[in-house]
This record gives sequence, structure tokens and C-alpha cells, in this order.
Amino acid sequence: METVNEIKERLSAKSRTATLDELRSEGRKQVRLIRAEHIAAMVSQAVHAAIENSGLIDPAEHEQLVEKSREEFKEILSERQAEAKRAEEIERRLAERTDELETFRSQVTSLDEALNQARAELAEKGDGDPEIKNELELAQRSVMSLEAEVERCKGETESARAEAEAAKASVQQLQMQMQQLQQMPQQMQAMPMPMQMQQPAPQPQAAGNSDMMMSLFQEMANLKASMQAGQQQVAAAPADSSGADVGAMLEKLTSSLNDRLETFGKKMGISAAVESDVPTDFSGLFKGAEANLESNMDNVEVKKKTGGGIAANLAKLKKLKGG
Amino acid sequence: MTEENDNIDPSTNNTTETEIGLGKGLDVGTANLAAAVQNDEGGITVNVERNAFLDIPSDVYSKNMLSKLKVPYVVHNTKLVVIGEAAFELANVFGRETRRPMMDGLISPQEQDALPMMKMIISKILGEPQVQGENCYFCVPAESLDVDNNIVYHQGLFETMINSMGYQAHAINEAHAVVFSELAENDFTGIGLSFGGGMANACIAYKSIPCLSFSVARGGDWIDKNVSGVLGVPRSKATHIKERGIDIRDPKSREEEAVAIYYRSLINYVLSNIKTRFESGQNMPSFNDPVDIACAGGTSMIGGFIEVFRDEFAKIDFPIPVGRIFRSEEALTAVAKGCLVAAAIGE
Repeated sequence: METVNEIKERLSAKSRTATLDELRSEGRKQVRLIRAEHIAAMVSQAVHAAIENSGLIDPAEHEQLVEKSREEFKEILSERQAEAKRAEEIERRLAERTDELETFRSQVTSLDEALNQARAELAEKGDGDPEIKNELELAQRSVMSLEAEVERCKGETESARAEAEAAKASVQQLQMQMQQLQQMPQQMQAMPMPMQMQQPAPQPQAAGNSDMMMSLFQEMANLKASMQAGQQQVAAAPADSSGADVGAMLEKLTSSLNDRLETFGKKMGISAAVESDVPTDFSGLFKGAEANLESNMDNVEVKKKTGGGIAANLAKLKKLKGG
Repeated sequence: MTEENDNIDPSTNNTTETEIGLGKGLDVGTANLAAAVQNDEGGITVNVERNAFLDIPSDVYSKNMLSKLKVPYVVHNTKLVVIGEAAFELANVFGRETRRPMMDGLISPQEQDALPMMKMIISKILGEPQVQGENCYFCVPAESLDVDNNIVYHQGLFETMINSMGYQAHAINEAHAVVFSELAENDFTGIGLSFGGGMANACIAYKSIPCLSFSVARGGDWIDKNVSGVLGVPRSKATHIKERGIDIRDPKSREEEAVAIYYRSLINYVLSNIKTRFESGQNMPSFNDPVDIACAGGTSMIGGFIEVFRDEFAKIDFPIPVGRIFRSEEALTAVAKGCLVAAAIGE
């Protein structure tokens, strides 16, 4: 065995490894192949033959040597075959493992997907987790309260819108009524029963915005009084269908105008409340000061100035007043 | 009324003495208090006192000194309170500011303790009523355009105070009093302006009937405050500059220039507001003939006031024709005189 291995080693030492491309580049298109074992065998046969022919080795020893060589060869062969098997086995197992790996990888991928899906479902449903369930319930309550708040705001907005619409409608109604009031004198004149209506006395108006409002308020009040006077005259007139119609219209307009006047006046800061005739008494502010204070004012003269008389002024004023 | 009264000679009395003599006018001003009464000579006598006081520590020596110097004082809350013009003089001596019972034309809410002092001054200048319930007309400002003020409290307070002195108190608009005093020759038709310490009042009247009245919270104190701010001097210094006899048409120094600037601003402010109010007012009388503008009040007494007023008037397009623009010859006492006219006629 050692001899064959030595031969093989020497053969390997004396040989070189060349690739097929290198051999092609050297111009070799074909090569004859022989195994190293065959060479070793041929050398061994040649050695046996040489030894037998030389008569130097006993034929029995020769047979032993040959037998020994065969056994070594068999052992080597078996070892090589075993190694080949093992290599094949390894390759097979490697292939299997590779397949298994691929399989596992695909399984992992699918499992990941399933896990993510399960997590998502778990997050949604929270099945089986009381904490998650509580959190979900709290979140739901918050959402419900927010929704209620939104609904409340919507309701307030709607009510405010409704109020604005109502106010607009009432203003339009008031304008219509004012237009009807303006047409009232013409309608009254068209009646078969003549009806005298007092014209509102012209009221002096003061300047300024508040004065304008006061004058407007006064005019509306006068108009209302005129309508009431006309209404009374209609009531005193002989029964007449047209008169009754006008009277009913007057009454309706009067009551409506009265309400509008009150509202209008309050908004403009003009109250229907009357001022008291009794002046405000501030004498309480001087309590304590009424006590005689020590002073030298009686002994002190104040600065005096003289001026022209007022007799002419008084005379002019009296003349203006018709006195 | 007899024909004799139509051509009455102001220097003689053609009616009974008591009839002419009754009634008193009281100008309740921020800077000065003035009480007018008819005298025996056919004219009027006006008692004037500064509306200010100063409290100093009370001791026997101070009291005796004040009495000897005939400086009016009152003992109030254990303090000596010097009243009137003397308070200004003493304030200068001590380097202090006087206390003012009124601010911006109305009773000052910060000086509630000053009510007894004011009552004492008013009692001194009014004197005792000639008859119980004698008419006393006192002036009040009109509603201000530029500040939110409470005229009701001010008016009620002085009504109560004057009634407690034995008079029958009545309030009259301050600028309306100027109309009574200065526009008799125009049948009390025209514009009366009162430039006081705290406010400027305006009244447009037609035959003694006020058509438009308003006030602005700018007066002599406003000028002092702004001049003080511009020049960086105390307000008393600004007052002194204003009252030492300058002419705002021809300022000679930076100080006088500042005074002139704010006088022009005040006059322009008042005229602009008259114009605006007149243009916005409804049912205002139409003045076919030019009307006169009469100015009065202590703030109008500065040199060149009327000339500057005419300058500023020329710059604006006034809505009504204006004839004469003049200042009362008795600018400081014109309001009190007008109140006296109202009291005497029983308005």
C-alpha cells in the first residue's frame, strides 16, 4: 500500500495539472487518460515480473508480496469507494438540506404573513385580551362622546341659523308692514266713509345718531297712535264690511307694531320705562361734612371782578319770549 | 312788558331792584369757580376762586400764620387744608402739586374728600341767598364726544349741594350760558364756545334755543399735559408758560412754539367736531344769515387766540355761514354771567 501511494505521490509530484483550455491552447485536441492506480499497478506488475525473473526473491515471498499488494489495493479501493459514497451521501444530504431550507424559507414567509394578519386581526378584535378589550371600550366611548359633541355643535349651529332666519323673516315682515302702513292713508281715502286721521305732529329732532334713533322711535310711536285713532274711528263708524276689514287690519298692524316698537326700542337702548320725577338725592354724600369745620373763611375775602350788566340780555330774552 | 324795557339802559334800573337783583349764576369749572350776582350799580359782581386745595400738617403755628396772612384754610381730618389760589402759591413754595376736586370738567372720582372743600368754596363765593329758594343756575358740560362720562352724577351732586345752601338749583349747559352772555345782540342765535380747563363745550343756538350741544375732553389741562410731555417739564411749568403772557401767533421760543401747536390742535379739533355734528344732525335750523361765533373761558384768554381761531376756521369748509368770530371781553367770567342771565330770567 505504501508503495502504491508512494508511486502515486511521485506521479503527482511529477505531473502537473492543466485545464482543458490550456491543453487546447497547447494545440492538443485529444489526450489519453490513465489512472494513476493503473500506472501504479503496471509498475507493480513490472516490479513483480522483474523480481520473479531476477530470482532474487523467493517465489513464495513474491506471492506474499503480491497478495499483500492486492490487499493493500483492495483496502485503498474500498477506502476510496467509501469516500466516494460518503461524498455522494454528503451531496445528497446537502441537496436535501437545501431543499428543506427552501421549503422552510417559503414556510417562514407564509407564516410571517399569517402572523401579521393574525396580529392585525388581534389588534382589531382583541380577542381574549382583557386589557385590549378595555382599551377598545375606552376608545369607543371617546369616539361616541366626540360624536355627541359634534352633534351638539351641529344642533347649535342649526338653531343659530334658524334664529338668524327668523330674525330675517321678522325684519322682512316688519318692512312689509311698514309698506302697508304707508299705503294705509290711500286705502282709507278710497273708503266710502270718510275717515279723518290726525297727522302726527312734527317733532323737533336733535342731532346725533342717538337723537336720530330717538326721532325715529318717536315717529313710529306717533304712527302707532295715528293707527289707533283711525282704528277707533272705524269702530265708531257705521257697520261696513270694508270698514270692518280695515279695522281688523289696523288692529292687527297696531298690535304687531307695538311689539316691534318694544323690541326695537330695547335694542336701541331706548327703554319703555319712564324716568322718575323725583330727582336723585345725593345729600348722603355730604354727611359728616355738614358738621361745622374749623375754618377762617369768614375772615377771608374772595377775589371779586366786576362786569357789564345783564339788563340788555334780560330785555332781549324777554322780548324773544314775548314777554 | 313795557316799551321802556325794550331800550333799557344797562346802567339804570327801570324795574324793581329785587327783580333785577334776584338770581345767581355759578360757573363750576375745572380750574376756577365763579359766582355772578347783579350788583347795585347795574352791573354784575363775580366772585372767583381757584378750584384747588392743598393739605399741610396742622399745628398751631401754621394755623396762626395762615390766619395772619388771610390765607383761607379749613381743618379737615386733623389736617390744615388751604383752599383756592393760595393753595397754588403754597404748592410752589413746598414744591408740591395742588389737589384738584374736578377733572376733565366733572367731579373727580379720585378726590371724594374734596367735596367738603368745594362746598366751602362755593358757599363762600355764592354767599347767602337773598331769599329762600333763590334761583341759582350752575353750568354743566354737555355729553362728551370723545370720552364716556357721567354727567348725571356730577349734575345731581351740585344740585344737592346748592339746594342745601338755600337756593333752588338748576343746571344749564356751559356753552349755552356763553350764548346767553355774548350773543344778545344776535337774538341769542349763533355758536357759543367755552374753552375751559378740563373741557371745551359747544352750543349752536337759535333764538336762545339750543339746537346742538356737545363737549370734548380737551381744554387747558390737555394743553398743559401735552406741552409738558413734549418739553419734558412739569405741568405747572407748562401752565406758567401758557399764562405768562405769550402770543400764540408769534411764538418766541421752543416752549411757546409747543403751546401754540397744541392750541391750534385744540381749536381745529373743536371746529371739526362742530362741522361733523352739524352735517350729521337732522332738522338743524337753516341759517340764511351768517351767525357769530363767541368764544369764552379761561383757556381762550391767551394772546392771539382769536386770530389763530380764525386761521383754523378758514382751513375748513364750515357748513353754515359765519359772520363775526370774537372772544368775550370777560372771557373768565362769561359763563358765570350767562348762568346769571338764565337765573334772572328763570329759564
